[in-house]
Amino acid sequence: MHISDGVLPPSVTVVSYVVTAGIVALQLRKLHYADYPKVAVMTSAFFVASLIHVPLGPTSVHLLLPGLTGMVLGPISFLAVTLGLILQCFLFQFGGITALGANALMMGLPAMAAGWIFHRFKMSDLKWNMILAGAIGSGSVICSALILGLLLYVSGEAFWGVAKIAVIAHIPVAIIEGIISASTVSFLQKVKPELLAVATRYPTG
Amino acid sequence: MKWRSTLFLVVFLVMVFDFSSEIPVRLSWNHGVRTAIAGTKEVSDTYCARAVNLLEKQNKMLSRDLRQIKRELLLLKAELSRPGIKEVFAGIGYIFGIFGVAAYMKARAMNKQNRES
Repeated sequence: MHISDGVLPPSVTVVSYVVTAGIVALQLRKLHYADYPKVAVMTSAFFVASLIHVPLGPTSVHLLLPGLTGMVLGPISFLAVTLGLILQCFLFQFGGITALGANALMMGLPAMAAGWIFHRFKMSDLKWNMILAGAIGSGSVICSALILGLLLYVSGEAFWGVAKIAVIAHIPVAIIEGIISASTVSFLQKVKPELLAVATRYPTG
Repeated sequence: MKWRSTLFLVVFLVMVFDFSSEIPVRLSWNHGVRTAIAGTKEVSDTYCARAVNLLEKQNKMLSRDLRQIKRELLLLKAELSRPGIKEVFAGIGYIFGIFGVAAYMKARAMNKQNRES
């Protein structure tokens, strides 16, 4: 799910770039140095996940992992998503350079929301966390598809037409991503619970 | 001399009738210009038809081969444009590099602070 060059009008492009730059600047200030390795690892995971293709009839869609990124990184996930998208854009030619801001918003906002919801509702119970992570993982993909529809609606397309297609195309991805998120979170909670716990740390110095 | 001219005549006639079956222009000598033209046209029509038929067959085969080659080219292009292992590791390297530089800067700043305090 990437917007290509020339799909969005200049106004939407500029606005999305400005918003993205603003959020990234805010998060760079929030970023605690102890979180650097974690952000790096999650950025790499997000970056590589887009190469795992799920065959779907004549086309194929790929994993997105905004939910997992958000759950592990919390509010600084937007930074990871943006960096991953920049590298995907330059190395894989996914999405256009002019649409980078819009793509970052499309993937980053669900990631941030996923992190917030997960840390708001998580408990020590493993099963509950797994279910929560699965639901968030699926929901964030659907949410990305809806934001894609919204961005295209702002650009003059019919919202429901685009959104419906995007959501239907990403239902298999959403299911797979739910499973992946749930298993990853349960694994992390069993093996390294502090990775999930410190996600909302804010800077002290 | 008489037998010689008769022989010539016979040979000539045999030649004419012998070739007339294959080369219609020769007929003009016998049947007049109109028949000759009509015959030429008829034969050239069959030749043309045969040639056109052959050309069409060859064209069909060629275009089939071309289509196949084009399909293979497209496949190859798609294969080439797909990111490979090189790009993946390049990206991971970039990410770790960026965060490594960030960590280095931070560590340097902290060292400086420690020394000053």
